Amino acid sequence: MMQADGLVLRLSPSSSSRSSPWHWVWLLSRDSGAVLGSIILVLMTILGLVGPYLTGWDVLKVDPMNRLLPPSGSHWLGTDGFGRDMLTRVLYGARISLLVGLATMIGSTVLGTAVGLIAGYFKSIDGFIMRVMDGFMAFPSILLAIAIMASLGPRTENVIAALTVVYLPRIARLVRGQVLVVRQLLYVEAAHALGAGSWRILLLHTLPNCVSPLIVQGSFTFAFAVISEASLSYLGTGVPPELPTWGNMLHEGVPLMAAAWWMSVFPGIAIAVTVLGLNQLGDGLRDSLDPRIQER
Amino acid sequence: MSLESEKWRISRRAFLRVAALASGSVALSACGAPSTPAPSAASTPGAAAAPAAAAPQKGGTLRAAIIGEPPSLDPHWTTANVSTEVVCHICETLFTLDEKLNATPLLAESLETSQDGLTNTVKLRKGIRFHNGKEMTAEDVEASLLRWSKLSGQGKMLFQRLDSLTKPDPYTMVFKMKTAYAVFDSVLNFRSQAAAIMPKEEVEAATEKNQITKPIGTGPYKFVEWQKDRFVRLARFENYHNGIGDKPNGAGGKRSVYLDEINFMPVPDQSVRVAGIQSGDYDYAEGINPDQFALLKDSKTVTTIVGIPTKCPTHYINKKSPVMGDVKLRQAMMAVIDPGAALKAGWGSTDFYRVSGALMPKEGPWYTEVATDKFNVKNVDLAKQLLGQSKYKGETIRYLTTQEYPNMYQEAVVLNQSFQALGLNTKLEVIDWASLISRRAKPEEWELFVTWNGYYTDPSLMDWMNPDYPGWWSNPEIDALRNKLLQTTDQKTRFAIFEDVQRLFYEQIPILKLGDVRDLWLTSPKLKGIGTYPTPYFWNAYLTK
Amino acid sequence: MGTQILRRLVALVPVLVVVGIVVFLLVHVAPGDPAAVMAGNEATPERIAQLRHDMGLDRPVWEQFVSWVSDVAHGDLGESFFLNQPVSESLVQRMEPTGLLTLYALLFSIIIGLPAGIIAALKRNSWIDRLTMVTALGGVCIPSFWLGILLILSFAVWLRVLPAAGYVSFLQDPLENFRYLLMPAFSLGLQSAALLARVVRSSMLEVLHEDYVRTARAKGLRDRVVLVRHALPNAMIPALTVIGNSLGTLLGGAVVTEQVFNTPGVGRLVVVSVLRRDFPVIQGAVLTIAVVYVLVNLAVDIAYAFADPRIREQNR
Repeated sequence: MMQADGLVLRLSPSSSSRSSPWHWVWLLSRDSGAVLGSIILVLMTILGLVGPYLTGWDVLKVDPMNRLLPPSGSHWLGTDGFGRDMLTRVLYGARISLLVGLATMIGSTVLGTAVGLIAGYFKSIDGFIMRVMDGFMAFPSILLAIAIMASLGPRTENVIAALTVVYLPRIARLVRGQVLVVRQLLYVEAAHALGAGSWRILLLHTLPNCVSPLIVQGSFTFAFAVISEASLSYLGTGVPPELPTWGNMLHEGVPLMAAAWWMSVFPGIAIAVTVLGLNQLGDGLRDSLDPRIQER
Repeated sequence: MSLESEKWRISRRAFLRVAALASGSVALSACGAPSTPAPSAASTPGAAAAPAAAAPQKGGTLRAAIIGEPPSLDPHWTTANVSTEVVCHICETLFTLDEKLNATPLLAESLETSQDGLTNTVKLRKGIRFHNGKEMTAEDVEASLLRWSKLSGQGKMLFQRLDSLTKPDPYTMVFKMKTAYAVFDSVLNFRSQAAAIMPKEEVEAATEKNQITKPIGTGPYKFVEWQKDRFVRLARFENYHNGIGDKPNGAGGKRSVYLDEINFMPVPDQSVRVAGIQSGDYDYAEGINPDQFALLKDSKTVTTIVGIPTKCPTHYINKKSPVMGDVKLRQAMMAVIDPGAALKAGWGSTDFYRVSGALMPKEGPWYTEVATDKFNVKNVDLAKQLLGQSKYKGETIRYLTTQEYPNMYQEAVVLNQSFQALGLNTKLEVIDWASLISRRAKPEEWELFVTWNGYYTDPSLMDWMNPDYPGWWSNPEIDALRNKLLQTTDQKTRFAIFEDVQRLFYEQIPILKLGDVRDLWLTSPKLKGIGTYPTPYFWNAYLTK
Repeated sequence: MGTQILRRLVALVPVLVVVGIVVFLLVHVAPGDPAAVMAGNEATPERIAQLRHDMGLDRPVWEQFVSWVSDVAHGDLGESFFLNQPVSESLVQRMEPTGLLTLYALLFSIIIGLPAGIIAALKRNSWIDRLTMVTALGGVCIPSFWLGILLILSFAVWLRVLPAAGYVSFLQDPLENFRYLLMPAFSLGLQSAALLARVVRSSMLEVLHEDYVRTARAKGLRDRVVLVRHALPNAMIPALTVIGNSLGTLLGGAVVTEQVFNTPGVGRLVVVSVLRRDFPVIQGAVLTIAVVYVLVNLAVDIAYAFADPRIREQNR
């Protein structure tokens, strides 16, 4: 019901100018949280891409003779159980964590939108599709991810696939809701009397209306995916253990928490900071894009 | 080398004659006394024999944090270690191991083997009571061994060679063999999937189809309660026979029972086990990452126990695979690896590992260095040359490992980098243990996998010697040597045959064996007198106030 | 209202069918052999094959599926491979820790989150507000398992005031039970507490600007009266949404928390059963969790209906 209020507003003619990207940027720049979040994410991305080459250490090369060294001048964050430089690994970890998060966000958004559109458009299979979606949503998300990982095996693509399956139903439900509302409005207003095919009208009217909730949902999906990837790897069912991700570092570091605190403290901080950035950005997006707040 | 075999020969004959406390004294008479298994190197005396500061006290409940839930408490049912170490307190075998790793009687009184090796006569001890009050006789032993022979691989092999089993009286059993079987007593003291003795009615009611869930045995503790995934509770058996003699000798000799109860609690997470010992929630924790040692060895709230080297990390090669069937490729691998680096990554410090190419441990009677010049060469040029002579064309080599046992993973990561540096197209596949053990059974699904093997009293019982064990080391040369080793009873000849096995091993490289490793345990300072070999045991253990 | 609940309950059936098929397929597609796990590291191939046969794993997958479905339809979740006991029994044994953990975590999040949000709103822009919101932000971002580990390290290992891990039944010793669940419940509940604090703060701020509150103030009512009679009840509705949603989240999060604290609950049962490929337990536990999860969500919806006058009107 609340969504419907927003939608009626969106269907008004002025909605097109609001969807211009520059308008969003302008809105976001007014929100200090969103600015902070964006800065964190951009910084993390740059550090992840460039950082590992600046430290002077190889991210994978093992050196057992220098294992478990505490933080020092040559290894700022210490070394891990294989004698690899933790700083290099934590920086490198940003790549995979962000990649998994981003891919999950895109995957679940694209597929969820498709499923939602199909379910909303084809009444005959709507019931079936939504029951399947309800079925997937009846699993606690981490449990579903664990079960999928156990059967697919530990690969990065599989983590992305598993997390996509986990978050897809939420998006599908959101988009389907929008489609149904638009459909009803169009019917009432007899918009398709204008001659355009109803499929095209639906797309034209639904998608723009979905964009801002999808973007908001996407930033939170991104954050959830980063935490879920870490939890899965911590439980030992995530990305291949030889990949330097924060979750894998925690998996290796936690058993040695008391003996080598640096192995688990720094990856934990990296996760927390990234999630902080994503949440801030998400909050900012929501506040800027939600017409009810914006109007005030 | 000859000294070693000499010692074994005397030891064995003495054992045959007087059975009971023979081997302990003989070890002294054998010249050049072997390096005693350094019991519990570091901070505490871990072996049961260690003199205690104060007199042991009766009473108390031991809270033991074990690495996982036992799949079964039926001693015949599974080879899983975590089962064995609970069950060995409830059910006992005819023989066990003394502190020199020799077979010593437990429920048996003596074993006599005829000159031709075909007749084994086992005398049973009298007055041994089961937990249900019944006295143990040859009837129970026969029924138990029969069931065991249907479930255990070792049991099956023994009974295939058995011609007849007779019981002249309730305390005597005569095993007539079709061919001599040199490992007769070793098989009967096997620790995993043990030939445990239970009352006849129990084993016959269960048959080999059903799992026994409330085991009844003759052991120092009796089974009380099992709450799945929470605890297994055992209580002191008041009518326990207290072993043999007046002082402990390894797992044999005198066995005293002090504790009222033992609670085995499965705690799969290592960091939780460590934290639980530190916070005083557990009295005993096993499977501790060696990296904790440096931090905890001087702790006042925790006692560290370092075991004797009882197992070896092994990286199995699939001899049935078209790629790995190539001997030259396997030799190239052996030439390129750095076992020290891999063990360092997996086991932390030399307190816990030693690089060794010998196939049997220094502490035991089978140690020989023959052919080990091909081990630990770390020669990239030689490896490249060997690789050049092989037919290897860059095929993918799937290398299975698991993080559930971190050492296995860490060793594999280090070895894998050496393989890749050599130009091998190895692909590390880190999967869970359940997947690993099912995949390794299928020859088409892997080229290399990591595990560890416990040392047995006889090399012919080692897993890599078993032609059916994944890896499948079977060809005319080794098959012939294997049979010779099993059917020869003269110890000196057997040692010479084993040296040939080791020579062949370093020609054919069936597996990559890196060295010997020790385990780390943590206990509360109140817990004294626990033993750790062959598996941790709590008879003779007690809690101080 | 009654018919709506009934309709929701009927809709549960297709959901469970989907859950059942999905979990059965996932479990049986997974590599790994329960018989090999049972038999141990040194078992012979023959022994493993024999166990597979005894467990009925050598039958075709569809046949196993049909027999499982018909058993479940008769209320029988089957027998665990590994635990040697009925699945339903092993689940019942583990319900108490999971239930109490979730409940305590929820209570924590309410006890911490609600007052924090209200105070922050009332003292808007003061240092209390800033401190609360920064803490809340931290609470949302810190992975709960990592927080759990930090807690174990500080309170069990260094200070030795709380048990590191394990569990004592409530029936056996309620106080001791609470001591064991304190850290798990806190680490699990902090995230929800943080979320709740933020939502309560913003909805309080919103309400405090509404006309009726201003009117009430103008009428000369004391601040406390205005707060308790007018502002709080209206600010509670979004808070209720958050609390309802967190119940489901906490139930899911308990899976990881139980792992960290070695709590013998349903979540840990599922994780260890995945590792040992105990198919009947995984299937039964996931199915049960799904039912509970859906029922909890239904209960939350009903609670809204009673709390929110707008929804109450609609359902009349």
